[in-house]
Amino acid sequence: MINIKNACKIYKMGNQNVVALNCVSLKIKDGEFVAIVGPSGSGKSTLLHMIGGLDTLDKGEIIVNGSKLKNVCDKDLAKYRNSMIGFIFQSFNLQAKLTALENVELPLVIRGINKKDRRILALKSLKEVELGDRINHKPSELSGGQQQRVCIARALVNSPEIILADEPTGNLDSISGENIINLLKQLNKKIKTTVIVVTHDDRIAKMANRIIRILDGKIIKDVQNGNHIIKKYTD
Amino acid sequence: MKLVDIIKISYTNLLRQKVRTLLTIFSIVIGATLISLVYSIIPGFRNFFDLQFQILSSPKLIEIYASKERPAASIMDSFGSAPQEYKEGESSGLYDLMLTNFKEEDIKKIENIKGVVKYHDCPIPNVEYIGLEDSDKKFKSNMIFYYPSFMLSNIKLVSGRSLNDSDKGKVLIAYDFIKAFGYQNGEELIGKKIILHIKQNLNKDTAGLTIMPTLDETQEVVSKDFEFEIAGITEKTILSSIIFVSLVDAVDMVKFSRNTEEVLTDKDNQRFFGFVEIDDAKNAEYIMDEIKNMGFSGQTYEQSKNILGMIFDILTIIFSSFGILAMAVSSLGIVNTLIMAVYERTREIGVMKALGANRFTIIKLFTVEAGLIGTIAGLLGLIIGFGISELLNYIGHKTIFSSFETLDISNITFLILLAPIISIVVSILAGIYPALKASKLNPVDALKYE
Repeated sequence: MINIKNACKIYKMGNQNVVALNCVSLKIKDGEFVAIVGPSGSGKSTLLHMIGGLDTLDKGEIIVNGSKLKNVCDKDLAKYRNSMIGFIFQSFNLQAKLTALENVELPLVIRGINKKDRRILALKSLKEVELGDRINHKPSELSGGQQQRVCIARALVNSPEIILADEPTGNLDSISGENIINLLKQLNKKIKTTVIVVTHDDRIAKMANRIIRILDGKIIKDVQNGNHIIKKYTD
Repeated sequence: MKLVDIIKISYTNLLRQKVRTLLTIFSIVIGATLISLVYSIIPGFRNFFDLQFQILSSPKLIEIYASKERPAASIMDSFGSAPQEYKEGESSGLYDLMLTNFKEEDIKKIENIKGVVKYHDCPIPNVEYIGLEDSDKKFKSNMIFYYPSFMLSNIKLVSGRSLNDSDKGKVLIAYDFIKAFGYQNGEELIGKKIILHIKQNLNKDTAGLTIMPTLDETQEVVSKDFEFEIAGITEKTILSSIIFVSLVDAVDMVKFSRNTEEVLTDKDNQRFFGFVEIDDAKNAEYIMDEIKNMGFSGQTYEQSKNILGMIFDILTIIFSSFGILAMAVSSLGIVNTLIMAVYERTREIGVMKALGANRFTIIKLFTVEAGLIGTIAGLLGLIIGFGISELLNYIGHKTIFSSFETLDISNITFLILLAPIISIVVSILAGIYPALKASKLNPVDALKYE
C-alpha cells in the first residue's frame, strides 16, 4: 500500500520556482494498475520519482508498506529502490556494451547476488518477457519493443512490489507498444505487482484499474477505469 | 555490490575510451618507470659500495685525526649555514689540520683507553710510478697504503698470500695489475719484482696530496726505485690501482721522499692521521668519545657507513621526488579523464542509482577505475623500469663496470612494489574528486541528461 500525504515539491528553474507537486494526497492499494495522466510538466513524472525514492519531497510524506520514505538515509533509499521498485523508462536506459542478460542482471549485481544465482534469476525474468532466445544480444541488436522488454525484465528481476513505468510506450511503434501494454497488464495480473504508469497513451489508460489526472501539480481527477471516460483523461 | 563486480564494471568502463585511457596510463607510467629505476639502480650501487666499504674498512677500526675537528668536517658543516662565531681556542681554517700532530704521549694515552687494541700509523708514500721487472710498462699510483693485517684479512685474494705487519719487502697488489702488466692470471705475477719509483721532493710530500706543491725548478731531483716482491693479488675492488705495503716499507719510502728521519716521531709535522684498532665494534662509540675528550677528532666505521648511506638516501629522495612529481602531474590527467567519464556516463549513473546503487557504490566504481589506471600504469612502469635497469646493467657489465661482478644495478627487492603502490595511491587520490562528483548527481537530473 502506498500512502501519499500532502506531497509538495518545488523546483527552482533559474530565478523561478516551479511547483511540481502541490499538496498531493493519494492512496494506491497493492496490486493496483494505475495510470497517471496529464499534460507535460503537470508533475506526473515527479510523483513517480517521489514514489520511486529517486527524489525527496519538500513537504508531506510518502509511506510505502508502512515505511516512511522521508528522512531515510541514501543507503536505505537505494536499498528500497533496489528491492521494492522496478523502473521502466521511456528510453529503456539499457547499457549499450552489455548483453540483454547482463543488463537484466544489473540490479542483482548491485544487490551483491552471486554470479550463478543472478544468471538463473535474470534468465527467468527474460523468459517471462519472452526474450529467452535473445539473452546474448546487445541492445543495438534488438528492436525497440525487445529493448523495452529487456527493461521490463530488468525491472522484474528483483521481484519488486511496485513497478514504476515512465512513458513505457513513448518510444515504440503502435504494435510494439500494444505488446508492452499487454505484457504489463499480464504481469500485474499474474504476479500481483502494483503497476504505476505515467502515460500519454490512451491504450494504457484503458487497461488501468484506475486513472489519475494531474494538472499543475494537483490531482484533478481520480477515477476507477471505465472505457467511456478514457478520452477525457488522456491527452 | 561485490568488489569483484565493481572491478569488472570499472574495467569495462575503462575499455570504452581506449585511446584516452591509454594516454592517461602512459603519463603515469613515466613517473612509475622513474621510481622503479631509482629503486633498482640506487640500491644496486648502494649494495655494491657497502660491500666495497666492508672489504676496505672494518667495524673494528676508527680513523682518528690529531686536529680537534675532522678535516673537511668544518667545510661540510659550513655549507648552507650562516657564518659561525669564532671562539678562542677552537680550531678554524684549513691549515689547522697541518699544525696538529700526534705525539708519542698522545698515542700512549689513546692505547690506554679500554677496548683499544692498537694505534696504527698511516704513512702514505708518494709514489711517482709503478713498474714491473722485465717490463717497460709504468703506471701511475696514488694508492700506496699500509693496512694493518687485521684489515687486510677482510680482502680476499685471487693469488698468493696476504701481508703481515712485519712483511718487509713484500707487497699486495690490486687485481687490475694482472691485465695491466700483460698477464693472464695472478699466479704468474707472484714472486715477481715490482718497482715503486719515488722522487724526493722537499717541497712536496704526503701532505702534498692535500696542499698545492710549490715547484722549484732549480731543485735537483733525486729519485729511487724501491723494489718489492709481489706476495699476493687482491680480488677486484673499486680501488683498482691500490698497492698494500708493510708499515716498515711505508715508513722507509716516506722517509726517503721527505728526506728526513723524523717520520712518525714527536718531531714529525705530518703525523696528523691514524687508525685505532678496537677489540669490539660495540665499543666504537665509547672509544670515539674518549678520543674526542682528549681533543682529537675522528670517525667510526658506523659513522663513515652512515655518511655513505646518507648520500644514497639523498640521491634516492631526489630522484624519487622527480618520479612522484611526474606522477602527481599525471594524476591531473586521471582527474580529467574521470571527470569526462562522469559527464559521458551521467545518464548511466542515474540508471545505476534508479536500480539501487547508493552514493558509496558510485564512489567505489570511480575510485576503482582510477585505481585500475594506477595499477596498470604502476605495473607497466615497474616492468619498463626494471627492463631499462636490466639493460643498463647488461651494457654496463659489458663496458664500464665489466670487472665488478657484485655490482648489480638491476637490484630487485621488496622496493619493486613502491612504484605500483605510489602509482595506485596517487591515482586513487586523483579519482576521489570525480567519484564524489558522480556520487552527488541527482538521479532524476542524471536520468534526464542528454
